[in-house]
Amino acid sequence: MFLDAPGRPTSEAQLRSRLALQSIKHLKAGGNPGITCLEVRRASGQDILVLDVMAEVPSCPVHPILPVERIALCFDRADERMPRALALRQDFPEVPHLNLEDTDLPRSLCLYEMPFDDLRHHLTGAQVLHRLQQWLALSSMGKLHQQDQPLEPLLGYTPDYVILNPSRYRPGLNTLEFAIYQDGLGRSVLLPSSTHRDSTTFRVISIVVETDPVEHGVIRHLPKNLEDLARLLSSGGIDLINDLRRHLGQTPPEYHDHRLMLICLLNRKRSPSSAAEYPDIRAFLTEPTIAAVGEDLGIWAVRDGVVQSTLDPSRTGGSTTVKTLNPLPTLTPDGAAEMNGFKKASPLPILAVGAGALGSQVILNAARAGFGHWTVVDEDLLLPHNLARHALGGGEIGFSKANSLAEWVNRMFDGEKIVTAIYANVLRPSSTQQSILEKAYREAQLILDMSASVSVARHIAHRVTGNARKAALFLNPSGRDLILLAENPQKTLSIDQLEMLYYQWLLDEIELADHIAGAEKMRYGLGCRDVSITLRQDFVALHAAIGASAIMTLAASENVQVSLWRLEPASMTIRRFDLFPEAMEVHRYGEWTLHLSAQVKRQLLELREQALPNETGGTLVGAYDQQSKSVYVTSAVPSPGDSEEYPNSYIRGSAGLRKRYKEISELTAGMLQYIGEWHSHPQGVGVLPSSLDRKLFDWLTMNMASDGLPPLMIIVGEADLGVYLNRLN
Amino acid sequence: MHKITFFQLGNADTTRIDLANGRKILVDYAATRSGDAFDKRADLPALLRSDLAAAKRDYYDVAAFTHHDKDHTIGAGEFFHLEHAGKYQGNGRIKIRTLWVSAATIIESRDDLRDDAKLIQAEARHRLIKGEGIRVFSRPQPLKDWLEARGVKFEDRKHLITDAGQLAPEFSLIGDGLEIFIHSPFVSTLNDSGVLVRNDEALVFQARFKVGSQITDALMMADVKYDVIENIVEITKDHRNENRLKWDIMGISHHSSYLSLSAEKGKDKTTPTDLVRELLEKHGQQRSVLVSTSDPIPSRDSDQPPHRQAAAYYRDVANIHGGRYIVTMEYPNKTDPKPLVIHIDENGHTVENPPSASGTSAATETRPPRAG
Repeated sequence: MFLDAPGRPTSEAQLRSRLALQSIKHLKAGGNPGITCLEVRRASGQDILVLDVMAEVPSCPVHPILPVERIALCFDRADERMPRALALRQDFPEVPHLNLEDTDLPRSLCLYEMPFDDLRHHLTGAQVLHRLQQWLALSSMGKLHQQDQPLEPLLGYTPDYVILNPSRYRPGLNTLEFAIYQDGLGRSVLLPSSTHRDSTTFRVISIVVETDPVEHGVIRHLPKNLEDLARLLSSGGIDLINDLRRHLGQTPPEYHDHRLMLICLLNRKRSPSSAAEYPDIRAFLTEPTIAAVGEDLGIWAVRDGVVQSTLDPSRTGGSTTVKTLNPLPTLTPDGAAEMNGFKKASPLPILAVGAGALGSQVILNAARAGFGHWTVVDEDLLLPHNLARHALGGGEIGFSKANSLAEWVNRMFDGEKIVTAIYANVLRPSSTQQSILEKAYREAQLILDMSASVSVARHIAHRVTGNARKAALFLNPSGRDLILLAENPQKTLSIDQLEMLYYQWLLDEIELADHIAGAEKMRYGLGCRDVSITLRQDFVALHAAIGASAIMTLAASENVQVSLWRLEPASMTIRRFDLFPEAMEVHRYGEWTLHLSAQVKRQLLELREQALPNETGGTLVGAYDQQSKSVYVTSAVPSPGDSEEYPNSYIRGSAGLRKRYKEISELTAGMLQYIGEWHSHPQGVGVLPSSLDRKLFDWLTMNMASDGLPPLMIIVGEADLGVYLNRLN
Repeated sequence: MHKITFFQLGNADTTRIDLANGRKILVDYAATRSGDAFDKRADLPALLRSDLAAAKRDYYDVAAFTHHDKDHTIGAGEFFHLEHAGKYQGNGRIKIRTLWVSAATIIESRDDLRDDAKLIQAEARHRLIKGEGIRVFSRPQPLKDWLEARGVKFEDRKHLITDAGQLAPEFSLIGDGLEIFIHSPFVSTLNDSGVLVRNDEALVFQARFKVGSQITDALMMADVKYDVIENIVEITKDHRNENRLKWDIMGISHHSSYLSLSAEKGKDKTTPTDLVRELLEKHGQQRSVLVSTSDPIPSRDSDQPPHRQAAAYYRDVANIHGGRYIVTMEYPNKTDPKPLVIHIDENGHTVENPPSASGTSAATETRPPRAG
């Protein structure tokens, strides 16, 4: 009733395996009374314990395992391999999670699913013994394989792969060309020949075969030849030999130098009564060409180099050796999304400006999560110093960043166009480039500025029309802070307004005081054009990760966003700041447009209220954009200490003003400045300029004109403002 | 999941049934362990107390005394809270919601009753007169006489009395996943074959467990001799209740004594009488477990049970069913026996492995020696 255990009897003193010795010691100490050691044996390289193992097997088991089973536990003497547990009972059932061995008996229990290298450092003999009991108990109840665990493969392990693109695959006969790559460790990979230009290639004819579902759990041997394979497939209702005779009999002779690849969808089910789940997909490649395969299947005979059709039913493919390959589909955006834990890829059309350090890494992160169909505009070439912080590698030096990034990403998806490159200067495109850009602007749903350039930002804000939502993602000069400015789809605030409110935020939020303070030129130089710029790649990588994630979140949200992520270098922790901006009032004055923040309006009304019955006043803070003729008013400076306030007049002083504007310039890297004057009117007077006000405006006009700037004066009334830009009417 | 625990107590019985719904039944109580550190028998009161503490209980729903021999009652007077006298109350004594005894326990007037048995008798009598917290099995005429001599109408206590061939009303398949069918004691009567059936005092029952659609039967044989077993088989068949003879688990009668199989011990193996053989071989189910609550099986002949000849036959029975014959003082081995736990679930019954200790888990589960 029992099979012989391997090896011959020996004494404990001869044992070398640490695990075997620990097991013996554990049993002797009474550590596991459910297990009795009957005999100690030795075979080449193995220490073997023959055990009677008592396990918690129920009276009505799912698989007929007995409460006591005799097991030969075979340890590698050097403990370099997983211990093998052989069930010695002759009629030990065929259950899931048996190891595939050269012979069916004795059955070899697969105790651990993880590789031995992951186990060996903490595994003890006692644990192996306990696992053995657990394996028997769970197997007997059919619970070893959990319901949520993936199905077992139907066939044994093979180290070889073939990479296929399912979308380029048609049902029926296909001719494919492969390159073969051998790694020198005994593994080979068959690649679509297009991806590996240097390797030798060969052609195959492939046929897809799908079987009826078979119950999973028992792993079968790999077929050695077509005859074996036919036997394997017959349990799934396939008559392979006759199917092949039919198919190959019709194959034109010009394909006879191809090899045959059978791609088999081996359908599986969990239990006899359950439905088929996803198949085990394997490919089988014949060693010989179709010409020889046909002969071996008795379809034709070659006599004196001439192919003659015959039918020899005694030839059933026994001489046609086959190699089993694991087919792997090429990565699709949906596949990439799934690997990242998302349900589906998002094909949102995005126009990205800038494929520099941040841009390249953000796009790569997003594409790897299946997010976005990108058009990338960049005019730079990849230069050696860029590699310190760029997503691309040494192979792309001297090539366009945009083109190379597109190629790099698209190659991940077997050539699917996830990134389209426009190798152009977004500010000065050629006329052909211009039309390509125009089309990209029109088609994009999101225009993402990662150029780290103010001029590009302004260009996108003012010159790019269309419905696309606009956003900007950039780092501060030290690389510690990442900033995202994003319009909402309704564009209640435009990207240029958001930029100004972001500068104002730097004045209001004390913790952001060091954000750009001290930088000579805001944002310039971050495009890595400057060889001397210092910026840590770990900071860029972190922010690129946050940036990609923020863009993905943004796409699903309808909110305006002004966010800042701050990295604390000592601890590498990140803090996030958010601004929730209100819509700005927009006024037009001839060619000029004025944008007034809700914050400054509230501030001015309050200051007036506090000074009543007297008038009060002060200066305004904001910015100009000369090209688009825009003025942004973001805040006000209250009345200086040496001002004179009367019930019907106001004379602004100047104490501390110079210092305050110097500070403002420092905190915003010169982006915000003095832009005009404000004063209040008493109750019942309204906001129309008085004669004194007209004189004041003339003075302003004179002052500003020398700088080419329009004069701005705001009169604050009871509930509203009189805003006068350039002219008083 | 239900659980049956057989404690290793030498030739003595205590079995605990833990139901999935939390109710607990204790069948017999025999704290046999001496103070001797080398005594391998279970420290019964300690094990029972820690189990109750874990379940946050201070009572058993039922405590059954199959009969009142010493090996089924010893120490009960120190462990249980007895309602009939204040001196047996409090101090962490364990309460009994319903006490199960056979009618013999009430009416017996033996002089040789030991202290613990006397206390159980006194308690049972007290509860029966009071009319609550008791079930008495079988009702021979003497029980009626006994009650009426004390001015209690038999009719007023009838609901506390259950005959053989009936289900004990304390449990139900629907409410508890358990029903208990009483085989013995039975009333003296002529059976259908015209044979006079002698009354016997011991409580024999079949516990039928149900989990999902899975039925598991445990036959608890107490200490009855072969002739009583024959009567049980015959009466049950006469009443066409054969499925009440089915067993997946058997608490073997009288510590594997040959007298529970036949009048003859046999040379190396006891040959059972036909009806006993029928119970064991025909009504035992696949992978059934026979539990001998006894000392280890001796290799030589012995007067006292367990008898090696009886054990040899029981082993045959286990083999026929592809099951196991387990001796409590040998489980899992003679050097360090442990309580035998059998759990019952939708896969039938499973003998639990005795705890295997790893060094680290042992270290965290026990108190280490004092450090100096």
